[in-house]
Amino acid sequence: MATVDLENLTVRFGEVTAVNGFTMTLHQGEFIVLLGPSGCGKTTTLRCIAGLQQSTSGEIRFDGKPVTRLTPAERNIGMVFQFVSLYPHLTARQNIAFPLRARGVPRPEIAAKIDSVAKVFMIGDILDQYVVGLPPGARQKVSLARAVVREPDVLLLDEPLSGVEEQYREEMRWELRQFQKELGITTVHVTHDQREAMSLADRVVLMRDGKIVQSGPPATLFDNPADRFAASFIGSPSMNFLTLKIAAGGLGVASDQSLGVSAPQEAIDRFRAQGLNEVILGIRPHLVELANEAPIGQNVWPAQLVDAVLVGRNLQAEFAVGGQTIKAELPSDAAIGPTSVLRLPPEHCFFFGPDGSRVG
Amino acid sequence: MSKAVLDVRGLKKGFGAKFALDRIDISVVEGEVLGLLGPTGAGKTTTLRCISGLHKPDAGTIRLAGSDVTHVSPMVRDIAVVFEGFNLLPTLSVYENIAFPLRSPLYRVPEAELRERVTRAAEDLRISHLLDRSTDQISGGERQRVAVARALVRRPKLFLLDEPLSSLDLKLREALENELRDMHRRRGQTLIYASHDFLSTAAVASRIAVIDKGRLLQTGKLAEIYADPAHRRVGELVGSPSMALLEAKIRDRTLSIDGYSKAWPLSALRLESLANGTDVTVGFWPEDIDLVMTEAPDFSPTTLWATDFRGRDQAVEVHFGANRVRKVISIRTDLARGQSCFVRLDPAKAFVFASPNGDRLRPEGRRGPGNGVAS
Repeated sequence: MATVDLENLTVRFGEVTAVNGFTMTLHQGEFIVLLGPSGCGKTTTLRCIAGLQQSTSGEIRFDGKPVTRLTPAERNIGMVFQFVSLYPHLTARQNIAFPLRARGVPRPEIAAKIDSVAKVFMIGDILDQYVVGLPPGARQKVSLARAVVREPDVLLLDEPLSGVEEQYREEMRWELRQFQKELGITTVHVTHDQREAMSLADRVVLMRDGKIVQSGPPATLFDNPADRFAASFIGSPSMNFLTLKIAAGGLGVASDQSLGVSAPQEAIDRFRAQGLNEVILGIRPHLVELANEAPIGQNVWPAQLVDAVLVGRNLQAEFAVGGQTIKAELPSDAAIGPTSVLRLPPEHCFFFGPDGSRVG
Repeated sequence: MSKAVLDVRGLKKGFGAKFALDRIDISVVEGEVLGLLGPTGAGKTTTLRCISGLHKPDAGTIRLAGSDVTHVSPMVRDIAVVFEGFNLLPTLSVYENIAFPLRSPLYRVPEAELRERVTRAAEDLRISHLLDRSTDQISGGERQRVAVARALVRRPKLFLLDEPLSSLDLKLREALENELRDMHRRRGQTLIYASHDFLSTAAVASRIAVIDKGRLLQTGKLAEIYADPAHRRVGELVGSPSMALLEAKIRDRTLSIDGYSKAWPLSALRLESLANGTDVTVGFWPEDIDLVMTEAPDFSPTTLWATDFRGRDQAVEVHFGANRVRKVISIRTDLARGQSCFVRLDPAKAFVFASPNGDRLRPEGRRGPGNGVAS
């Protein structure tokens, strides 16, 4: 259990900068999720903390002590990979005992430690089974138990759930979070699955092109995205984006200026001051409202129904508004017709510049 | 006017002593997207391989647009297939890969038409900018789209997609689901979309066939499956979270759910012929379960076990007796494990399943729309 400092961490592979000046402090016991698309540098960052990857520059400290030049074996870390890497010819118990035996821990102490992790991971009943016969979820629990049994300073998880089938993954997610809280080990988890990040993290670190885009509690990333990339990456179904034009009369949908958009005058003045002609409006599908009774006006627009599918008890409907697409998640009994009226509550609208930066 | 493009009856297929498929009946009408939903090993791939002709069924008939193709070579069935591991030709450009089927002796078309079809398929799948690239210069998601475009360019009678998106990351998968849906809408293409993922299937399909252990458990629109699930396994495979399945016993002409404070007379469930001592499973869709954080009349106490924050809301798991229930709630504040919450179950919304075989026990004096499907 340790505080981990990453200072200005940079990793270059030839011309490519995989991690670019990554700086952050991981607090003791914190569950950090590094989230981002393939190639964003999240796994390279994790491998640097593990010592599997040497950084080009920058420093890593565990509880203030530099570990940057130490080998993985010299750092006190536990690691679990996407693909289960247990010894198939050993039982779960022997697998978990392995790192302790390698360090010459006395037998009674090994037995006691295994008992205690088995309790946390609820694997007491499978300890004496060979790991080959176990279902994937159980095997990954054994991997986790082995990683934490020698009480590492930091637990590093490289997509440990993506090899687990969807139907068990949800349950594993819930359990993983519980284990981590119970053990209190500083944890770094890498994933491209935003649902996993939302569910597990105390703090989500969203990365793109080797840099941090946004870092904060899951709810903050959802409610207050730093830019258009963060807005589109977090949340499912994805946020709607509409291109707006800034005209003399105010804001309107670019492809149909008669569809007015409400925004504080201060914001419109600011857009103009920044020399913007266009801005992008973002709104999450579940916050779009059906307002067939409301008079057409700012943010209340006629919309043509394009498609609707029932997903569970919700209707996911796609509308065309001034030639652009708006998706809405509505109750299954919503009165949608070929032409409906949609309302975009101004308090739920975000504004982004053409470069994707958040402007309002 | 809906015409059956595909009609499969009594399909059986075994590998050695093991039955992979047992009496599968599937019918797909023109312009429809049928979702084939089931866990890994359920028989989805075997079903699709029988339909495409890559497997020879042990019994049953397969009719395509009215004609029996059971013993017809896959070459001439006019079905296009996309499997998870896309087999693109690495030495050819994206354009040539998509054009490939149209250059085969069987489907050959004039060069001008070929160009138009490739261009259009590439536009549909938003890969126009990649046409000149070699397939090893593009990403996994792009390759998957090329594979779909290559199948699409042929305008087959039927299009089979076998977990086409499951190797892609979540955001890309969502984008491709939208594109599939869009493509179907604009072209009226008939397709079967096999997946183990409920949300993905629900997002793409207009009708869903639930398959498990080589048996088709139920086929219908999602709303029909919600209204009348045919089997306990259907409840486990449908929904997000899936159906809450609660262990219960018949005692003194009442049904009592383990750990739940209230017992219901069998008349409330219209299942008066159930014998005392019978074990059953009672299913509720999570959306039909009321859950509150403070004690209230008619609510039974439970313990909060886990929470799963989902951005806009959170899913919770509560335990009572040997039972557990998962449900999405709109409360976004932190809830602690072990805290008390309270549930209320409405017998009018209960689905009762036989234990242990999982068959649905339908209310007496009423024939459900899907009656007999699971028997």
